[in-house]
Amino acid sequence: MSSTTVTNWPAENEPVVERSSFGTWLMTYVFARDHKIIGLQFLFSTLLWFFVGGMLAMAIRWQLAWPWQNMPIVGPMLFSGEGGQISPEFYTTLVTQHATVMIFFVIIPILAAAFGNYLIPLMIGAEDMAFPTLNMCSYWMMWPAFLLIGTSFFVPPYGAGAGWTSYPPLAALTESSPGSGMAQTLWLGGVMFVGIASMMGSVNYLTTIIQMRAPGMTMMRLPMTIWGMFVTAILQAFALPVLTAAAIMQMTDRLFGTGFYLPEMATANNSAAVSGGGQPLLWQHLFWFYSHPAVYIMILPAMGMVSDILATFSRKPLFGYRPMVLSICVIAGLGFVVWGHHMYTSGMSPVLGITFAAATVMIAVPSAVKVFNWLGTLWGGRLQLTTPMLYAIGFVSMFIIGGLSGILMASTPVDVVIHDTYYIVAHFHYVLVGAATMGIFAGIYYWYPKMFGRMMNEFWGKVHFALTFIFINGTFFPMHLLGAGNMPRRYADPYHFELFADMLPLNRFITICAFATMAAQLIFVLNFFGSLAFGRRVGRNPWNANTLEWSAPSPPGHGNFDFQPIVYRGPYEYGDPTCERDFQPQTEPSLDGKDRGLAHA
Amino acid sequence: MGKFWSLLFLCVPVLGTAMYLAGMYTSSGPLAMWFPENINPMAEEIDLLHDIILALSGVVFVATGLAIFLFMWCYECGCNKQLAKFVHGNHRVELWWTIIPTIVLVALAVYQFKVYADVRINRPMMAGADGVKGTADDVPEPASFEVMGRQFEWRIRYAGEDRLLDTPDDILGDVNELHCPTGTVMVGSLKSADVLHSFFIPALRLKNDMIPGTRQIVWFQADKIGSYEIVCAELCGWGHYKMKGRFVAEPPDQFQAYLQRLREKQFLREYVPAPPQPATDQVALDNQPTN
Amino acid sequence: MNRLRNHSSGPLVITTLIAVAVSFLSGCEVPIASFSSNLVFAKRLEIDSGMKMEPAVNETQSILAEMFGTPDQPTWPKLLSEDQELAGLVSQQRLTRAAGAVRSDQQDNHFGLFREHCVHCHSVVGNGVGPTSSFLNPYPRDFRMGIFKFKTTPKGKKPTREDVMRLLTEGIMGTSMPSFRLLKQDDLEALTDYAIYLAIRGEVERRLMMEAASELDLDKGERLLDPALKESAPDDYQDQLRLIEETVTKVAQSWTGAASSVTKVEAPPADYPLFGRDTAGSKEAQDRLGASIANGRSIFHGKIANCASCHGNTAMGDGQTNDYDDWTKDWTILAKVDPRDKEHIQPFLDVGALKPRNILPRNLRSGIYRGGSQPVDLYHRIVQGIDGTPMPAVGLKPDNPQGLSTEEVWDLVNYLLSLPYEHITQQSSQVPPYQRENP
Repeated sequence: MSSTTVTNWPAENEPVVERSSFGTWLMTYVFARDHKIIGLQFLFSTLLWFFVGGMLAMAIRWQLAWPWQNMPIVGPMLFSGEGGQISPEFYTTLVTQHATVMIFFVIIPILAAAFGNYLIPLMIGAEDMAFPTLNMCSYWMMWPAFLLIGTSFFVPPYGAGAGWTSYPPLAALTESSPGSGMAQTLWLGGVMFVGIASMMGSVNYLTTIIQMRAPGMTMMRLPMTIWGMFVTAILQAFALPVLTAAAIMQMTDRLFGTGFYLPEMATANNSAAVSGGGQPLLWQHLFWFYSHPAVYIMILPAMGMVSDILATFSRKPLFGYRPMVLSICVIAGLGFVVWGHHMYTSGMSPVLGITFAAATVMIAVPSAVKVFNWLGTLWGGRLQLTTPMLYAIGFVSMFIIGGLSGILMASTPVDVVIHDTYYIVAHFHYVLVGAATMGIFAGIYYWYPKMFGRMMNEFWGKVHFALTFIFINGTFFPMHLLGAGNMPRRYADPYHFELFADMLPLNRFITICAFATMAAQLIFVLNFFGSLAFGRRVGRNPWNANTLEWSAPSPPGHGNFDFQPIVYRGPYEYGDPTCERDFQPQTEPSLDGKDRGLAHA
Repeated sequence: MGKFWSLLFLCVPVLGTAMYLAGMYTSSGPLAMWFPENINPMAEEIDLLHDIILALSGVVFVATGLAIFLFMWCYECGCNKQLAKFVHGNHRVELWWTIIPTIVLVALAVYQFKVYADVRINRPMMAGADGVKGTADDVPEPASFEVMGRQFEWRIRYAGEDRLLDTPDDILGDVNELHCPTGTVMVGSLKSADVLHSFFIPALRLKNDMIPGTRQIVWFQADKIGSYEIVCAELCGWGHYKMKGRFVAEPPDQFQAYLQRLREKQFLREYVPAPPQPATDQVALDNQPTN
Repeated sequence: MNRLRNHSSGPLVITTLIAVAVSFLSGCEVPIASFSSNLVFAKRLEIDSGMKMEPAVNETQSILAEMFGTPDQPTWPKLLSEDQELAGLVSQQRLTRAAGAVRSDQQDNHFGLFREHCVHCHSVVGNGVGPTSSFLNPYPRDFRMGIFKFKTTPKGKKPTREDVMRLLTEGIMGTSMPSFRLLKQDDLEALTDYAIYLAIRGEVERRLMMEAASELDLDKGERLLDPALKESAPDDYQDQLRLIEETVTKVAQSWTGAASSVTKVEAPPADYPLFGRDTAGSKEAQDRLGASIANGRSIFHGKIANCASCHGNTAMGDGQTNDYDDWTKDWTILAKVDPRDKEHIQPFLDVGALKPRNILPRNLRSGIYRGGSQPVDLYHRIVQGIDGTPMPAVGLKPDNPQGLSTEEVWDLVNYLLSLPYEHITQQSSQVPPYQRENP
């Protein structure tokens, strides 16, 4: 790769512009064009939404553990007339908004946007993103989405309640459910803005990674984090337009009487029949064409980050770098042709289900390869069980569970039974809450010193890990059993069925674990903010890691590096017995003169 | 501390397996839940397939869980005094752990196609014009009952003597209550009056969405007398959880008698107060021995 | 608290957890202190009488609370349980079972049934404005007028207990009222009692308010039951008390009287042709059925029944579409309020009325019959009309020489049953619709 750009140093070239202090502040911290500030903006916004989404989950769990009992705080506020018990449409709003917030406002932006923005230029040795202004726009495009979906909670008659999947006709006929009114339109608007924001981000990432790598940073010397971000950006760039377009189509169905998703004479709740002529399944195809790749968007960056952290704290090279890169690419490629496995029971042609099943089963292979490689990395290392390392191992442990239960779902006939039951809920929560969130925490603990120049408290970090790990497992593992008992999703009260009447005790256990998980995050919040003020100050490379960002100051100034980084080797040269230290930063030439750096670039 | 963390991770496979075993093998208690009884012989292989996949993934789950535990136990820097192994990978190992899962998964995929075809693709046929079943001119068996999902109930109707639905001699069934004769392959038609619903009878391993504007054909055979539950498995609005129905499998003669009762009720021209209590004859039905 | 909240979200979590813990200890119940008052009706009376209704509303509330208890502890008024004839109408035991917060015992007997199954739509007081109601079409029923649509008794009469029970078991097709047939029989009985109890309570409330508005000068402080009189003029006090008790008894009696007023159905002879049953019958049966349907059609369009004027010439319910039901008329047209005038109705909406909607005649081709799809159900609808709606009762011979004979009613029933199977474009075709080719 000789196309890498030799960067010019902004400190020398950028004209100094005199501004009022407010103007400077505004341009530095609000309408920032610096990738690190934008990354932190994303980080703080998403963490705030993480709290909102978490509280929504608590409300859902409350109803499942103590159905129709007075919900604390919310119940008396909203439903005093009914003795504080929540109404069923509030429950559907809860499940819809919990998923929407967690997926569109937390996991995707925190991984792709917060970490992506912060880490990509640092890890490839660039001064900033390729398009800093576009980067700023991508953050501020999230705000209309925040506002629209936030408002959709409160508009009459009810918050959006057609599920995050927003299946028509429930979502497209305004009369079909209390949440299908104005709120649904706002919700769709919000999703559209999220789509636009992510598009801007992904174009930027692709350009940056391809064009702005430091001299010597070949593609095959990129850390796994960057590979994860790169492939994620490809997925977003190609899948998201489909969702955005589909959302616009549903919008026109609702507002202008088109009939993309509504069958002829569709009606609900005695509404006037619409002319329709469309097909509800079309939405499902379009939606999952995005939303299945979205699953990988939500996990690939975390996989990358975890790979880096595992290698760093095992003090040995990542096992099988090339297979790792290859499997990420294969996962992404196959990810585009497996969306139909969400639709085995949807009424699409059963024959079609077979092709999707074949592709889906195959996607387990690269996932398994990744797991084995992570284990291979641990094998024979000198593991430093720091907080980020524990989270990274936690990620592997949870990803194994989420991945294995996925094979059951991939199998068409078995999926017929467990589709839309708690088996599914358990599965994707293991992938998203278990794995992705573990990855997020690992990333925060790992890069916190780089972001703020201070360490987070290790002791409380470990306590936080132990509690989170125990209670997340306690919350989601028993859900497999609920699923085996066929308890359906999105039921406000399953217990009036004989089949599910016995499930109340286990659901209470799950709820208590969920509350405990939420409570344990208090430690994280206190640790995070406390360490901002009281954390131990650190130098550039507190973890003795190899990758480029650790050669920059902590926190890096505008322009990132105070020297021209030149990359001499891959990112995982830990524990080389021929070297004095057990790590060899990518930017440092070997003392023994065996540099192969630029020659191979 | 390394020992503590490795033991924490050991809990995952140990407790996870224990919980699964408890779910499968205990008969009471909070963990006693597993697939409901299956009464549909056409879907027996689904359970088998599930068990096979579960066993395979269980082995991987335990093995990888133990590996994590062992590696943490042995290689934590506090106790591992050796240097870290400076290896970048192993081509041969990589190859094996790619090929073996591929073979296993391909085998699974091929096996499941067959199971799937039985329950979803190969629609039951009946004799065509030549009157002999199994010849080339066989025609698909027509649906003998129809379930229409509505917010938030199941409306049932049975084909009348002409064996066709949507004709004036259709028999209107009781709301939320589907009856079927045992030992017979039943073909049904699903439709929706408003939004998506999903017709789910756990005991039959039968689940299919109802889509407004199209008809879905399902088939099954109920082999055990009894009353089972119908569940809605697709979010259909605020009352989604209310869509409870009853599926009653009864001997063919009782089923015919039930249809006759419905027919009489449908053409009722004199007022009869209070319909007979549905629950009572159900109890009697439940207690009957299996044939 | 506010100061803390600005800094981190932690305290909120703690607050929540404490609240959760507290609610565990307190048994998770928020007692509902009282049934809400019928403010919409009070508003209407206020407009009629020009007086402030507030004192009357409050007084009615306390009188009712005395007699009927609270949502958590409903009571069947003593004077009714002491009356031999009225005692059986509602049982206190079942009321208790249906009321209160949702709970169940070890044997899986459910309590608080009304709040488990009904309040989302009908609300605690049974006024049909639960949290889900504003969105449903048609709106859930307001029990407090004591009017029920689908029953076996004539217009203006109360339904029988069996009628109410039937609505619970079968649901009402074409509306959001689901079927509760899978509940235990005991539960259904308890809910039936509770619905009747709410209806009686609501009607008593209306009558007392009406009495206060028409007989008393509220502005001068006159009261329905003045405790001051107890000492100064015991006789007057007793009179007032008697008047109230009479109101309660009268309302209750209207319910017990329902069983004796059930419409007698003149069943046709057994060989009378019936759509569906005889559609594929012998040639002769088919011919007779064809004639019957043809006659039904002419009655449908004819002067006497004149169904087409509302249900439309196509029978698709597109005839007259701008009327309102009695529950809406009660506070709009009867109070001289234009239901289409947003400003005019706003004060009513503010006190809890639902936005007026037109009541549409049924589309008879949809195959959905809210009151039931048996021929006898259609017969009841035709000869009784539908209470609370503009659907009139048709006169029957010989009582009404201008009316229809029972045979003609059955012809009409046959025609109605055949409509869903008739191609709308084939209306005048000579081929009987049921004989058309089945695809």
